[in-house]
Amino acid sequence: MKNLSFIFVSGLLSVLLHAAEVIPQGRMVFYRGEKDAVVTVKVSGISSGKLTVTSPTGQAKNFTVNSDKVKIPLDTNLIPGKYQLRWNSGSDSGSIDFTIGPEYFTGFPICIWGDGFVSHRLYQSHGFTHAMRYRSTRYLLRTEKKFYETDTRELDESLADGFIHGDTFDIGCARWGFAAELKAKYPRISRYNSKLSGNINILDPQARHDLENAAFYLSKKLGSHPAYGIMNINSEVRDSTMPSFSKHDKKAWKKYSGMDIPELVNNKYAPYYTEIPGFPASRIVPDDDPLLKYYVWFWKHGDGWNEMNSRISQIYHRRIKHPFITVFDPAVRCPPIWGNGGNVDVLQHWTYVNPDPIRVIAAIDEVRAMAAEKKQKVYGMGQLFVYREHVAPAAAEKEYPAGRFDAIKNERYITTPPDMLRELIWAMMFRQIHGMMFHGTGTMFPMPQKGKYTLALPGTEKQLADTLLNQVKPLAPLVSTLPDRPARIAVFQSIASAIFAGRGSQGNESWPYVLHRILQYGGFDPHMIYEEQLLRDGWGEIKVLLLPHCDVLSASALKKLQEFQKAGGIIIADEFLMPALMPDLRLNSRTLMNGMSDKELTAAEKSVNPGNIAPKELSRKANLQRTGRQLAQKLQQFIQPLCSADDPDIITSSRSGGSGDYIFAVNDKRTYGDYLGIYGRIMEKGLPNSGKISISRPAAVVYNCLTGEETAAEFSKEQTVIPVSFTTNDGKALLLLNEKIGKVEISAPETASPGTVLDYQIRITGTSGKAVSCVLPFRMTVTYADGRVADIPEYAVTAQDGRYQSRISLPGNTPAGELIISVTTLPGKISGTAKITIK
Amino acid sequence: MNKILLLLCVIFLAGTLPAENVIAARRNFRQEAAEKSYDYQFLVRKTADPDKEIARYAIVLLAQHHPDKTLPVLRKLAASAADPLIAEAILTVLADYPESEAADIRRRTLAQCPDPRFQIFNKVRLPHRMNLSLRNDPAYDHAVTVIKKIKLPENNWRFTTDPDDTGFLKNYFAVNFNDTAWRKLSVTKTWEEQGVTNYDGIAWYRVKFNMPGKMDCAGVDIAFGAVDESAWVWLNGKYVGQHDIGPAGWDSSFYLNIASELKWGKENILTVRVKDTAAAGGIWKPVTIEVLQ
Repeated sequence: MKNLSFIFVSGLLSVLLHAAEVIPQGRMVFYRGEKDAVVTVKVSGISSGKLTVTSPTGQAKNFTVNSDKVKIPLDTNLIPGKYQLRWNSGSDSGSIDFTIGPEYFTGFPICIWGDGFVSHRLYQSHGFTHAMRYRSTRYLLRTEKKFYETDTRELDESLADGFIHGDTFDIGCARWGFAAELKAKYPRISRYNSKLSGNINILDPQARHDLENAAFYLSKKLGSHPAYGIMNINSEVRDSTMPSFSKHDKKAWKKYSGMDIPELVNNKYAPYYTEIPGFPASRIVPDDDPLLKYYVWFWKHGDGWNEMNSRISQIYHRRIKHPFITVFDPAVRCPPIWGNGGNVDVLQHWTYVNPDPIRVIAAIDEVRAMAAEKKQKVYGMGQLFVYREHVAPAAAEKEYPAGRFDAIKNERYITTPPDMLRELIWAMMFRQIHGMMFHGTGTMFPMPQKGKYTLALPGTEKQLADTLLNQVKPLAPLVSTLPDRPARIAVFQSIASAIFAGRGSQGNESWPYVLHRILQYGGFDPHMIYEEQLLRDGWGEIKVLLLPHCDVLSASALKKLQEFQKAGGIIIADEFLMPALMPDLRLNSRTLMNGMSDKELTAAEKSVNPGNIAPKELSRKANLQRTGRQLAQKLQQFIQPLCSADDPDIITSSRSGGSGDYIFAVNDKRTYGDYLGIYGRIMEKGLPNSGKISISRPAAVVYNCLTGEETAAEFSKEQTVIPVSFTTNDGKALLLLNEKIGKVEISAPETASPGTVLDYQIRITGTSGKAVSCVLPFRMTVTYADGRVADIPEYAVTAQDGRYQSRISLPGNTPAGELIISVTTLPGKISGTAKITIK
Repeated sequence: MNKILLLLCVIFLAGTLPAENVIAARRNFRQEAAEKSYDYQFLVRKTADPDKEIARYAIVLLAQHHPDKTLPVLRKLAASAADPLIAEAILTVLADYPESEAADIRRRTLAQCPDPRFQIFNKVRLPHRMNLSLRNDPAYDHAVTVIKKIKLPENNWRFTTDPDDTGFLKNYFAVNFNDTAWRKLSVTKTWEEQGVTNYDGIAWYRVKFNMPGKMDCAGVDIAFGAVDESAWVWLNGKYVGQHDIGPAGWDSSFYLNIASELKWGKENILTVRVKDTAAAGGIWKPVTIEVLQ
């Protein structure tokens, strides 16, 4: 009896144990339209050797099971949501869950730099599309598995929501983990044969090999996941770079120059020119001066990091099949020499709101100057925090009057004032940028763990969300499409002055930035130009060059500048200009970097200071504005702004979209507020303002691109004058056209089937019936018959002929009935629809 | 009298000319100078132009195109070179002339325009030399071993700050320089840790030490544990070399070959000029003489 029982139980177990099992492995989240998507399942107990799998749209497919794994091709063209594959082995059946996320995001990235390990949903709800953090290099530690599992889960969740995560390849100069090991192994060597504490000596072939291997390994780890889409490569690596004297370094320089490393090379810059024996008193450095040649080589090639970053970028691009962006920053924390960051896709700066948020335009212009060699893309980068020491006294210095401030007495990085943040973001849109990046999440959102960043002003994140969601997102396609106008007035940066006199901005608030702002306050729209660009491309349409801190010039730069003057160009310089060039005008940097005295301020200039708080900050800004206006007057006979405002606080920039012109304007009128302004070091609170913007072109209509409304203006043959008003530090995007927008026409087929491609065309015409020959921004929605809205980009722009062609890959489960394409222009709010019957 | 009035009128008008006229005038000057092939008389006349930018540039062009005839003009201009623009141009072009001819004009110019920025034209430049330690000398292909270490005193070094950076001109490194008025400091701690607070800039250290009788050796180094940030070293009044890699050098050790400057069996005087640009500064790790074989 016992034996019979045993046989029965073991038979039952055998049946149970051999029940068919189909267990999914790997990624089960896909984006809509993902090509070559495969669900891999581990199978057991399938005695028939056959497996039938039925898709959510009812298509069945048979698979022969000849190993324990079956790969099931997946049609991902489904409306985003959760789905099941049904399987049947003959004896058993079951289902496999999977998720389809929205179509892959290839629009304008708005990225948080260092996400603080907070859910992507928080960022997404505030307008962010990407989040980046130190992620995969942790895999080089022994705890890889734990991190990898968490990361892939997070990437899955992000993909389902159409959000993209990023990473930092941070090995070049990091002080921990694998990076620290490499630094100890491959140090830079001083002339005195001591190890330097800077970055890795990447000219050592073995160091290159180790870093390349790390890139190969890490790109493989997460690179197959589509939600892994952006990578910052060796941020700040060049801050700690130094000339090195290992055999590799000496060999590389010798190969390049045929010389030994010049004796005076010790530091990352040459000794100050007055310390160099025999330095020309004329301060004209021959182009073949060994020190100049060495330092240009060092910053371009010689420390090895530009080439290394190119290589890492290349490795990731080769191994990752989906769209992937590589970034380097801060791209101008070095002398003004092309090449910083190597061939990464995007260069960006790091910029704070203080003292004047519009300084971000100078920062972007400087990165554009750096990117001009290879025409790389540029992102605008804003800090969400300010250094408390820059905007408030040290804790020990003064009693804090506001109780709220007690909480941040000893904090270093605190929330940026919201009005200034909005102004900074608007100012970024003055230029053609291809994305935005922000850093300092801990000063905006409560973090799981207290870090270095302090949320000092709750509520600022609402301001940020409003600006990103309601202003940046609609305008982003326009901002990234409209080309910048060629420079007519530019701030020049000299290599020789950077090398021999330590000049240059390093991306920080500095005299070149201040000059740039003076010009903006004067109504001009200045650019920055590097010496290399002037030598390669000439001055183009530039009429006026400003030469800050040109103590020393290379012979070729001097010659080019003299030619520029000879051709009628105007040079404005400061008290540092070397004597071999005669400036047409001279400004004094010392008086302009400081403010005026209280007595010198006019009543109008004082009017923004009702509390009569320390006037230093007020006078500093007033000084720049006054100088800008005076400069505009002095230059009137030679150059006039294409577009400017009658109020120095209204800053403008214009870009051509074809027959139409766009004006971006921002209000910089600010006073001391009650958050940080109480200490008189920052004017943080936006004030209402109004004025008139003039642009030297005729027009028939002016639109506000965000409200869509027509704006009243005075029209004449020579110019259009537009009255504008602002409630605080916000901005406007205005469009001038020669005729009003009349109609939106959408051409699309009358019927279509699910799973097919629907081609359509949009044509925007004027009241005359002709297509508007201008880039035009519009909002588009595609609504399915059941009321759901399709996951296509919400905002786009037409080409310069007013047309837009695109296609919708209709999901296989598109509901039958009427699909509606609705298009509304942002300027004018003119709408058009097309209805397509889905069979 | 009329001439003076006329001159005053010209000066007044130049000062009040609208900016566009200033721009045009400077542009015209450049053009005219080129058209006249940088004629000597024309340029000399322009060195007295009321627009100081034109005058300054005329000086530069004069020296560039007529170097042989420029010195007398400079001598004349130096007597009234109160304007920094003019003074700088004179001082700059003077550098291309022999010191015997230039010195007097420079002195007079600086007397007229005592702008501190121009003291650099008066400055004797620091020496630059590398007494490479045998251990760092690529030409020396033998193994190097330290056969004896002689510790220098750690305390009672003479010390002074040099905020104007004039110590070199005052011969702080000379053997017979009297440093008794300098305070005493240890070289195992930064100067901030010894009461010299809130000072970043140049400072000097001096110390006397005795050496034993001559040893048979291949070389002698002076070994610095660390100097925050940069150091220039003299031994017995002779310049030995520097360790100057900027702020990154604050905790690096370094060696300089002192075989030629060292006096065996006698008293030696070591002088170190230190530059610190941020935070703590000074010689903060012991200094040793290392005898090499």
